[in-house]
Amino acid sequence: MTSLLNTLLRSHASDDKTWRAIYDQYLPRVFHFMCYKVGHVQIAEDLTATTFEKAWRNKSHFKKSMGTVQSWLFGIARHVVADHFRKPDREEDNDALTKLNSSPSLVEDKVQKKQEFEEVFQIVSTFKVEHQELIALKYGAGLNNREIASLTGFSETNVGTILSRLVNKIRKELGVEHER
Amino acid sequence: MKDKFMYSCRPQVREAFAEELFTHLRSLEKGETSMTIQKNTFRLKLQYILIALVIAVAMIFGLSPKARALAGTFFQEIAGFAVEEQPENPMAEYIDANGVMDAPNATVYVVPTTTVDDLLSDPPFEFSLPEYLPEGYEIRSDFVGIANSKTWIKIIYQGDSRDKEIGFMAETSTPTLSVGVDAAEEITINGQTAMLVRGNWALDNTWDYENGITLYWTVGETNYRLIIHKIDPDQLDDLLPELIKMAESVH
Repeated sequence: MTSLLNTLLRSHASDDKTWRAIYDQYLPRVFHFMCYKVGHVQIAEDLTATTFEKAWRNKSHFKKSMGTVQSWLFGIARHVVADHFRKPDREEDNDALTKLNSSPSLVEDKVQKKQEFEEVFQIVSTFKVEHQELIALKYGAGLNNREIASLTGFSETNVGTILSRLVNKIRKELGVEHER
Repeated sequence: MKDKFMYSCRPQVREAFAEELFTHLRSLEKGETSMTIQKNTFRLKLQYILIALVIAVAMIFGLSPKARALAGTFFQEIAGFAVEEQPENPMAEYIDANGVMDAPNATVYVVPTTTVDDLLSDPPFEFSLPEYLPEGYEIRSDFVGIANSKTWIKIIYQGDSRDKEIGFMAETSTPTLSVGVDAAEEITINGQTAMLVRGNWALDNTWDYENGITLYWTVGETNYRLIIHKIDPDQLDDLLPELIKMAESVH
């Protein structure tokens, strides 16, 4: 799917449908990346919105680049997160999105899932920052080890080894009954 | 690797959020020009020349970390903090000439404040305050910022004049920092590695190396910062040992 999107974009077929497809494919991945970075659903939604807004405003820049949609989009996402942590005196949001956050529909299973994620994130947040980044890129952004290695400077083997160790640590702290 | 739970526990994207965000994105496109690419021979030739130039520059700059930083972002880790060295403020496009955030449709929220007593009686996470303060400084008991996310707090220590302030922050997350080239260096606090950043982003979005200093260090699971924005650059070197002493008194 990713290569198809890139092909469409490079073959000048970048119409509304293509960008809608990009949005549909990457919205959950950017949102989950943000969840693993900040551990807070509403903040993750805010940062996801900021990421896509920046991407949409700079779509023409992407066309001039030689990268993939994925690397371009997550490059923006990583900068948005960095800025979020760098400017603690201000919390940005978007007018159009503020009202979305005011009426979250939390049914029972969502509540349970939220609690499960909070437990996992509580453990992840104790890891070193670069290990947290690996977790977010793997289990949030859905990147493979090779893609993570190219973004972080770790070798592909190291990424796999470290992630395995981190996940085992999380499993141990949660208890094996949490595997599902 | 049994990691399915790392995927299955993630919160789902709310449908209303997804649809309204897309509607918002579509509204951004109104008034923008079509992005149709006009393909012609001249453009192709220009692209080949640019690619060749990029490859040549990449080969040259690949030899030197400092050169890489001058050309763009250079990532490094200092004392456990991820640092991006940038030649220009990465938020430049969203800041106007007065240093005010100028993002279209953006709303800036004021961080909720409380008192020191209230903060200490109900702390959002475990942290300690410095036991040592430089002479003439005292805590502003009526101003404490607590993030909506409950991941950081900020306290102000006031000197003997209005322009003398030391900001103290404790946070549970570890930030990725964007700083000027060679602005960050590793130092030691209580025998542990810590980071000193000299300067801050100026109004013209370049890095001003004389615009204050910030110390970053970690105690246990909590990251701390001491921040000085407004001070005579000549006094910085005198104040730095005091700041380190202050940091070393956080246990």
